Amino acid sequence: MLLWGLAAVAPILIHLWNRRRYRETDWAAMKFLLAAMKKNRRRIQVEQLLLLLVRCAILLFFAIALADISCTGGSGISGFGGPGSATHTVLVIDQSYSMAYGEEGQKRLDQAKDLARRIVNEAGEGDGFTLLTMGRTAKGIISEPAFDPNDVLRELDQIEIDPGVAALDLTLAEIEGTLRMAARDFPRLRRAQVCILTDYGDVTWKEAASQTNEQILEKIEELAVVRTFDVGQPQTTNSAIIGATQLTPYLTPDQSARFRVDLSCDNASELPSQVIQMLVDGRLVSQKVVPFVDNQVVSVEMNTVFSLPGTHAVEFRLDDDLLSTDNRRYIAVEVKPQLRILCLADDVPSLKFLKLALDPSDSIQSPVKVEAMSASALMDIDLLSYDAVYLSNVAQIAPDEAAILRTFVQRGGGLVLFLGDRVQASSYNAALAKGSEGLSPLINIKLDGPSLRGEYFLDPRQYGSPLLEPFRGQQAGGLLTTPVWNYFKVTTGEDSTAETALWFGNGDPAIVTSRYQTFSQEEEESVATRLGGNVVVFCLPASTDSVDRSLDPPAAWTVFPTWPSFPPLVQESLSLAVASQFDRRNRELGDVFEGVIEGDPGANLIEVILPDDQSSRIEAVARDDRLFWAFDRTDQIGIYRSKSLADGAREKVEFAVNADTRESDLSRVAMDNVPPSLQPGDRGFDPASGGQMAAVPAAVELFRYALVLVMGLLFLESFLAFRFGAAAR
Amino acid sequence: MSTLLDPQTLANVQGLRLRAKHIVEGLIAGSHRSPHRGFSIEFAEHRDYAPGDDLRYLDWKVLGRTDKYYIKQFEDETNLICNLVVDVSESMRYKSAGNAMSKLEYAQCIGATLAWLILQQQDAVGLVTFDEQVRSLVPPSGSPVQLQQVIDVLQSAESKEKTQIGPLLHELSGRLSRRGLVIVLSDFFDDVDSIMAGLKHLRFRKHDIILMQILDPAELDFPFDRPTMFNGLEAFPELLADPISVRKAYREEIEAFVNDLRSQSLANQMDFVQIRSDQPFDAVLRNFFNHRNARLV
Repeated sequence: MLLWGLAAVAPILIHLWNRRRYRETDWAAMKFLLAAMKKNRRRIQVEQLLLLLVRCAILLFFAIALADISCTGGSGISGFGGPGSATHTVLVIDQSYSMAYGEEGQKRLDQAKDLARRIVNEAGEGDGFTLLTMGRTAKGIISEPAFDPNDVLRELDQIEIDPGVAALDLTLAEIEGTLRMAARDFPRLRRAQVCILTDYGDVTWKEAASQTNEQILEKIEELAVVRTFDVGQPQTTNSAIIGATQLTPYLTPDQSARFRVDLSCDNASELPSQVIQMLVDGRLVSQKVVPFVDNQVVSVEMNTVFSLPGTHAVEFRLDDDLLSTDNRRYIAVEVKPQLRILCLADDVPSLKFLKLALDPSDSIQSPVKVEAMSASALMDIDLLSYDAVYLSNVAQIAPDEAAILRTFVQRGGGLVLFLGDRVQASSYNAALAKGSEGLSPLINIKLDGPSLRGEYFLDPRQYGSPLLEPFRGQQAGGLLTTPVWNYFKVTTGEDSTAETALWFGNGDPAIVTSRYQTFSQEEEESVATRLGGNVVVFCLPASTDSVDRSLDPPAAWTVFPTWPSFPPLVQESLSLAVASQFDRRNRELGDVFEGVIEGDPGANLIEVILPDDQSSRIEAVARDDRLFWAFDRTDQIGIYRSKSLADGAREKVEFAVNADTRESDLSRVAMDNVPPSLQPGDRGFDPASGGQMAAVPAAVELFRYALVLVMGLLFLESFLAFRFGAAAR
Repeated sequence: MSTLLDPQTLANVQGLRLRAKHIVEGLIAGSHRSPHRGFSIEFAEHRDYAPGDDLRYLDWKVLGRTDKYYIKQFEDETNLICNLVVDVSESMRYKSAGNAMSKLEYAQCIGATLAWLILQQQDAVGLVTFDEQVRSLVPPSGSPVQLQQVIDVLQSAESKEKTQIGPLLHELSGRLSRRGLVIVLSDFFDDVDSIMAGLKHLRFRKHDIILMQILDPAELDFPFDRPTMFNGLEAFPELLADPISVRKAYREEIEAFVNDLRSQSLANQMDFVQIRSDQPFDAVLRNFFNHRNARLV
């Protein structure tokens, strides 16, 4: 619009044009004309220049006024000079699942939408709207200002609950970005306001006053007026399943499978108990009455028996209340005919203690099938068909072998190492260290070598590790009396993710565990973490063959494999090693699931059936003689199934997705933790005008001054023209 | 409102003679007093009678009072001699838009009319056309064919050269040997002092001088209102000017010039008449004659 300012040169062009467009006449009295010109030349030049400048200035200021009007007035004259100058309104709707609280049609989200509609309907001509949702991420539903209220209302209608925890920091950053974008790209929206519609849940808002948030808020307030609208209720009644875990480490047919369900209720006086149901593959298998205690977690154990191997969907269900999102919890379990365990050692007979500890029954019906092999066969074995791999006193791990083990662990396999007298620390350190760029160490420890001969005992400290669960309260379980004269000394780095589960009396680690994870750079600044299997390192041998050869005769390191503490620790290591398989199938919203197509699929396409029965086709990628597929659109809570495209294929339960249940805590944030400008109140409504939206303070409007100048210059021009004309006449 | 004798009407009349005839007839028809009262034979002196003198000129009154014979001697024993001096320089060619006649055409009409009237009362009329030099000269004569001669010369005058009135008047004062009436028809766009020097020379030769300054109305009013390129006549350069801004100064300049010319003329006992070339001829001439009569009485 300011290009119209170029019109200011129009008088100059007209002047020049007029100088070109003159009439012509013969003239006899030239002598007198020349004399007159000579006498008046300087005066005429000054007068003409002055008039020219005034005329240019008139057009210039008029153009500035026009440009400014179009900036402030939206559709032009309607906003001329009044408080209706165009406003950019950033509507921010909290869509976290606590906003689903309420009866149908009266949910907090519906109230927020109603308020937002009112704001839109009361907007002036030419006002622009952007629409953001505050969920797990801040999503720009309308990222650039929309000027048609119907468009905004339509988008508002389509906002649904995001079953996650709202990210306030991301939302504030998004608001600031949106305001800056609009200020840059839509200069005619001279004023801005941010309307945040939320329930002030403690989970979302407790960090509102953090330094980062305060800084962003300061920037926002430089750009806009912030208004907040509270749609929360002070008193709520909500029961929720806040967690469900599989207690039985691995499931096999016809064995009891135990699950623990954690529940809570924030108003037990209103809702003293609830019935929790357990459904397997949609069939009710168990139900219990759960008595609630105000704001306390109540755990319930539920059992079932899976008769058939394969993957099954387990659902825990509460009766519906005012917040239904947290009344369901899903678990995908894999029931294996047998757990396959591979034990490798340089000296295969030395594995007898380990085999016995892993499968004491050693029968065909045993849920565990242990295969003992020489470590040299590692390269020839398809590790992916095993659930856990045990390496017992293997001297060296070659780089190729390390790569195979890494792949195995990366895909969720469990790896357990027993360190004995054969182990070469340097070889292990190389194998366990970072493989290549982007890969993590298999376990972030450093092997130092065999310890000095001495008398050592095991120190469980607080029995904090799940590995020590069988010994908790069992002082006579043999753990504390385990004789150890030599052990393999390892150290964990300060920033290591490895955790020590058991110590020697001198403080050195005796058992170290770690969850393998890989990091991938997905976008510029986001790193995706993918969890692999568990790695467990015993700093003791799994056989009595490890001896201290510095003595004559050589003396055994330990009799740990023969001690009563050995079988329970091995069993727990097995539970831990295979536990990652449960994690792999039980994900949170937004996680990526990686599946494997078993058997001959007939095609490399697979159909993923979502909880809402919508389906999506995924292309599988061949790797290591298998077809892998990955699914990342895990935005729904529930069971995800897969179906091969081959004829006659049946649906298979693949994985379950659950929400972060922190939003089930409907307690409101303490307003002391919320910056004043974000605190709820009636600031958004003007009671004097019957609940109308209060006017946003007007910005300085340049066009007023420009128009006043234009008027003044017009008078000046007329006066000068008359004055100069009169003088000439 | 136009009359039969205004330039607008006469411009439609072909031929100078016809135009002059119209003016003369109009003048006579519109007036009860003779338009040529201002012209008369002037008494000069007495001399002693000598045998052979025409007794018609014997002053009988003096003879009756003194018994002496005197003969009345007149300035010119023939008719009044009037020399029309017409400027045909390039500046006389100017005619503004909307005006019917150029200054030269107007001067031609006035000249022809005056010649007609003078000859009609048996006086002699001569004609001189000039620009920077004498272009043609018709010696004064009272013969009936003189009118045609004057008209022919006037009609054939072409205006294309510069004016130099002063030196030319000096030249004329030598060439007009017989004293008489000299009527100068011009715009007098020349140096006033130079013009006056020439006129004084004529005046010194006992000529009675009438200056008729013919100006186009545009030259007096300067009515232009748009930027105008003025192409100077008589070798002046062209000039682009905004007329509105220069109008006042121009008017002051030309007014000063006219006033100077008028005042110096009167100071030297010369009649000065300013004529706008859009004025009706009868009004111009009648005013002139009235003014002349008043001065002679």
